[in-house]
Amino acid sequence: MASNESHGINVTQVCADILCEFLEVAFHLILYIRELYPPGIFERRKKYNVPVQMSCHPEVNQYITNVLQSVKPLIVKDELHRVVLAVLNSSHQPVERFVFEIAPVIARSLSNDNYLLRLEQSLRAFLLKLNVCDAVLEEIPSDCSFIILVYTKESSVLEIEQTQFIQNFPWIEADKSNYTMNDVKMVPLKAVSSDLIKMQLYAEESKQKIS
Amino acid sequence: MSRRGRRKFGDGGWSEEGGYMAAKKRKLDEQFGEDVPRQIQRQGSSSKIFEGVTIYVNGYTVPSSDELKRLMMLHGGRHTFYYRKTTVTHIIATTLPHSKILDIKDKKVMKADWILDSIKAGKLLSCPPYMLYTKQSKSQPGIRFTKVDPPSANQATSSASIASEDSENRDDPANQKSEFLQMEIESSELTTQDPESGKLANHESDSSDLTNQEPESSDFTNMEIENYELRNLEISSPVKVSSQSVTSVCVNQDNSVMSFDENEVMTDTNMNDGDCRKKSKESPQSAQLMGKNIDQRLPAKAGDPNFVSEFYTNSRLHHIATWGAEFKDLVKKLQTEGDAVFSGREKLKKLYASSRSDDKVHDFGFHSDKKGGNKPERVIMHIDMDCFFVSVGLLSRPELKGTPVAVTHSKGKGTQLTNRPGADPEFEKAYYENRHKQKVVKGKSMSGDKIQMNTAAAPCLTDSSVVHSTSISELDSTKTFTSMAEIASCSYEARKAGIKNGMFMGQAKKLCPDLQAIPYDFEKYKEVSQILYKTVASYTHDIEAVSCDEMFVDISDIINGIKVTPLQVATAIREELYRETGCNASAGIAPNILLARMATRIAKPNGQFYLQADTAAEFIKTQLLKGLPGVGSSLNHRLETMGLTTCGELQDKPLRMLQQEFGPKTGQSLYNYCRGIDERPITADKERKSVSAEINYGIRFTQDSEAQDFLTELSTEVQKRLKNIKMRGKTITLKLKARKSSAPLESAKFMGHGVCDNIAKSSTLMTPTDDVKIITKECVMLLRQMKIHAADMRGMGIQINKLSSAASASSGMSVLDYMKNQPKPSTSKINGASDRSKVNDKNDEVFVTPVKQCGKKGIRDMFQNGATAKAETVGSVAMPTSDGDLFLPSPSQVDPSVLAALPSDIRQQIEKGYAARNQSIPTKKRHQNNLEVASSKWDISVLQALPADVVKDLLLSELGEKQQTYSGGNMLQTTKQIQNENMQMLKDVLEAGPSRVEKQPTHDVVPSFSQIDPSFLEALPPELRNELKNTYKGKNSKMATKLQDKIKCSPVKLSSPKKGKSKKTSPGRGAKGSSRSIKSSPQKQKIDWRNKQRNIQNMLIGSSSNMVDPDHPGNPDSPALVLDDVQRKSDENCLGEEEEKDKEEVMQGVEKVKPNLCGRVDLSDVKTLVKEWIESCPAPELEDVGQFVQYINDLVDDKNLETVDLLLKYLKRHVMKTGRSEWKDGYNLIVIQTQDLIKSIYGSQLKIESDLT
Repeated sequence: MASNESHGINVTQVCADILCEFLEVAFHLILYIRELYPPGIFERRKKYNVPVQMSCHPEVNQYITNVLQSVKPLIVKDELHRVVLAVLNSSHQPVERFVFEIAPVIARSLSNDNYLLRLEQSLRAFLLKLNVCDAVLEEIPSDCSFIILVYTKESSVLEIEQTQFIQNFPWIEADKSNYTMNDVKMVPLKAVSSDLIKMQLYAEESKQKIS
Repeated sequence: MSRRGRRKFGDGGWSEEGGYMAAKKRKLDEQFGEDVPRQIQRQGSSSKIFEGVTIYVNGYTVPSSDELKRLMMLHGGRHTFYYRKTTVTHIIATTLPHSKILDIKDKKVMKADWILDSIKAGKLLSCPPYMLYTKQSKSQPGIRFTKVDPPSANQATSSASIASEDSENRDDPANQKSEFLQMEIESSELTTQDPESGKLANHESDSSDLTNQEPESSDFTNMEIENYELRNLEISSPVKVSSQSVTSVCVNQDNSVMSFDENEVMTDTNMNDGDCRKKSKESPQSAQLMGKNIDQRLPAKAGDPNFVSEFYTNSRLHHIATWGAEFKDLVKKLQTEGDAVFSGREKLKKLYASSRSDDKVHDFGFHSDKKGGNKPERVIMHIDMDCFFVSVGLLSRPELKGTPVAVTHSKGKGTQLTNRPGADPEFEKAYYENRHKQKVVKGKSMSGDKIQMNTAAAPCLTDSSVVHSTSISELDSTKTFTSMAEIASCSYEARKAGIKNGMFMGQAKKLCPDLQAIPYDFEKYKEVSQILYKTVASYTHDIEAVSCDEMFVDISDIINGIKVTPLQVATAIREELYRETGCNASAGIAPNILLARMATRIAKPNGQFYLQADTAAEFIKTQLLKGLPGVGSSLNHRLETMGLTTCGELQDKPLRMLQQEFGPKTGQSLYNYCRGIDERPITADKERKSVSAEINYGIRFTQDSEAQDFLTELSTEVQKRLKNIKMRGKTITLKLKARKSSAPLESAKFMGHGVCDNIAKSSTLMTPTDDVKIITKECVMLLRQMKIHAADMRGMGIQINKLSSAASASSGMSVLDYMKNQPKPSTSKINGASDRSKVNDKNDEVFVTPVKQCGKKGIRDMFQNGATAKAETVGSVAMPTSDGDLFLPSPSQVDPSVLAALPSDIRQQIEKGYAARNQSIPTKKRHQNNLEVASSKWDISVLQALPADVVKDLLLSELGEKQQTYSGGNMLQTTKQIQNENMQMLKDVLEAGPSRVEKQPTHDVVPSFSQIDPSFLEALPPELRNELKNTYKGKNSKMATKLQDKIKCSPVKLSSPKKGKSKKTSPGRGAKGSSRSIKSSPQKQKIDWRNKQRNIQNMLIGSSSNMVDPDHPGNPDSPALVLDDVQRKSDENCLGEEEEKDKEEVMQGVEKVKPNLCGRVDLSDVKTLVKEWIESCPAPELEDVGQFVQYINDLVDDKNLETVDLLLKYLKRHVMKTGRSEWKDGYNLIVIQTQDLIKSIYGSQLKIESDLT
């Protein structure tokens, strides 16, 4: 289990799967916490042994799934730097960003965490932290939407373009307005550093949220 | 119990007889002896068949043990009731338990039939067929009946004569020089002798000996042993077969000029019963050596200096194989030239122009990249000359046309031969029969060779260069003709009589008494082949050469280009071939290679056949499986046992079953082939997988040194081949044929390898090589490991695998690369030097060149000399390797003193060598600078120093290393910035003011203190150490004052996290030490950052007694303490990194270290530390703040903003608690710096209060 390819387990691939799953859960949770959608479309589920909320809206779900599907190859190659869920106000200006910053792990190994217990704990901690993040963040204006941004290398973008063609889910380069905010304050939320996944989550909020 | 009791009582009185059992055995033996005459009397007849054989019957046998005992009595053997290792030679049994087999592993266990059959045959039969189990280890000494008691009738005489002559070159003037040397020995009892055996020169008389000799067949000697060439053979002495038989040897010494063709040596040996004859091919050298060593009875063949190269220049198969490769090269060359005009195509176009209306496409500019595969309809033509060797041979013998003709070494008439001493044809025959029965026979196919094994014949033990074939049918063939020359090719007339290629001449002669034998004519073959290829190449270059007379041609382009039918193309080519060469060719045309080859079979002889895609499916169903490529005898046998003989039958089998049965690959290809599917493209350039040279003929060594010499030659041959294809190999395999221990000393075939164990051993080198020396060395080593007695060696081969092209090998893997990776001496230079001298010792054979000769020799030698010189004197670095290439160490490793000491011309040569490699010539200064760390800048002072003495040299090398490994450590980030600046300033100072430099002459050569490995310091003699310490003290105190201002005015830059950059400039810790010392008194300058850290810790712990004020002048820290600390630090952080010389690696290692504050990683620990810090200090020290900020920095780098956030909040709480403005300022400073950093990275700021008031 020590190496990347032991017992038929490709640790890198496994990590990518775990990460994608986690991101999916986290996105749903953020949507719920930040009240981007009415609570009615969410249902309670249990993940990592903590209650989470998951959207039942097929189109929302489809969007999130598609994003993560097309991003997964990047994660496998450690080319995904950040995944950002940006909350946009009614004029499509970002007011809040939840940034998952993913750092490459030099030598992935399961040797310290054979049954992924510690990893699960860390992810659970993330979710719990997300659950309470509204305490440290300002309220967002009503009528907000969201968008998912991905930070990666240009070469990877080209690669994505090949695969997206198949998935019919094209990526475009983000407008500057989509990812820049004025007068940003950053709230670090959680960080995990293990032999498998190294990631931190922080929220950025614009001061002129309400205005 | 009873046994024990008996023993107690003195063995029951048997003791004086040597014990009861001994006495009993003796008595039984006596009884046996007494019984013998009685039995013989009763039986009335007796023999001595089993003389020397003592059997022990184990368990139930048929006939019974008693009966066997009786038989042994009658026939001169012995029988014992008790197994005794010393006397028993054979064990008779029907079954044996495993434990017993292990127990008696060195005895032969025979079936009882052996005795019966031997009696029936009237002689002792060879053991193997009757052995109960044969898998005895090769260590089995066995009892060798090598003397093969000649049957009593053999008491008459055997005569052997070897006659040799050059059949082909007889008319060659050069041949006139050849002398015949003839020795004839006749024993008094000699009764039968061939009339001509004594008068060899008279060839014509040969023909009188046996039946149908055509006039021209007298070109050949009546040959039983063919020899290629005999040179220098001057001695030949009678070789006694047995006491009463005599061999007469007639040897022809031939000139070696026309070494292309074989001489043929005839050896007639006849046994009285005349049922055993052998014939074999010989290499010239073997005979030559035989002459040399003839007095040793075992003619050693290999070992002559030129054995290998001559062997190959004369080997028939070697030529055929090489031609194949040559033509492949030719085709490749043609294709790369590319822009040829296809004259043949134009002719073809003209020829058929009239018949076509739309003649418009002129596709002359086609290139080889248009190979089939992507084309919808490929048309592949397989061109094969009809019985190539025969038709070429018939060109000069038109009168033989229409008669059965075979190309072979044999002249076509057989004589009788006696057994040679030590040979046991029975054994080999039985061995092969046995193997054949067991169906473990695997005839190795020889692609590109004309010889196909007769399926009825016994195993074909072949290799790439030599064919040794032994046929069962041959060995027990009739009394009339038993030539063992195989037929390389035979005419269709002969084929009608049932003769096949690969059949032995003796057998063929039986089938077709009119068979004419013609000799090889290699020159002519080559000529015709060249015409063949040129002709085809005039049509297209899409040719895949198979062998000298066979090729695949992709004619799709021709057909598409000039609109002709495939058959028209074939006709045109074949007609032209016939015009040019006078030989017939057949052509098969089909959509792919597989079908084309099959179509050719239909087309033959002299025809053409177009197998179209739509009829192919039907066609293939009727084809026999053994005609498929890759289906050899063993695979065919397996298929047959499954009831499959034709492709149609195989088509019914599902792919899965085939893959299960034959493995995924074979199964898949069988599945495809039997459907006529073959996607292989026409390839001119098949990549070579291995290069080898193997000789299994004429190997008879007498001592190990001969074997080694032979290996050297073989290596040379391998190297030649490697060079020819411009490749280098990494894996060297030594293949050995060792005489099976149960096999007779001499093989049935003269100088053949007989029955052998095949042993192979390989070793993989670090780097691909084509160097004879390396190959030889490896092989000799492998040979030694095998521990085979030289006399038992029967064949040797060297194979080189894992080829890579020589060009890439040299550029990609230069020796320099290895130099870089070599661990540098970790202790001191002196050790390094001794290491190197050891290396020199190891490579002694390489470095024997005397110094005096170096002027004449190449640069490499010079360097070797340089190296030795260095080892003697200073012991600096030059690492000679045994690589044969031009070798120069990296310039930094050249000791300039040695360079200077060299004669000027040599020096120039070296310098040129470096220039050629784009490496700067090591000047003295540069050398000093580069000695260990080429890019380091820290030792500017060194640059200006005088040439270093030994001590300084030591220091330099040591420190250079330590600089790399020790400069790590996360806590250093901030200080490094400062240090860089310091160093820059220092540099400026040094460069600007040489006078100032002179003031500190002793310091110039000393590197920064912290770069010294403490263990190194400890290892130094005390006085030396003190001197060093003093030096550092002085140095630092002077520096300190200068640097202080600089430090103060330079704000600590926390925002730039560029670790790499600070590494690159690599200021080391010496400067750090001095920067630390800024605030401290001169006595304390050596406290390094770690020590400082300690101070902080002590301070934070809050114990006032332990608290060490960093600014206190009377700091008790002694240098020794510092060293301890450094040591500890090295244990903590730099462990395992010491060996890493590569900077990047070091950096990686550093990055792996988790961010820590004074070694604390856990947030709670850090918090505790911070709390203590705040509580114990009235105001935060600037450098402590710096460290804290550095820690924050690292955390940010480590993508752990969460901790940063928490930490800052924590800090804030506690700072607020103290309520001191100093702390608030400190906090503000930290926050500002942190925010700056985060802003620079993330473009945003933390949401924390940044201003405490």
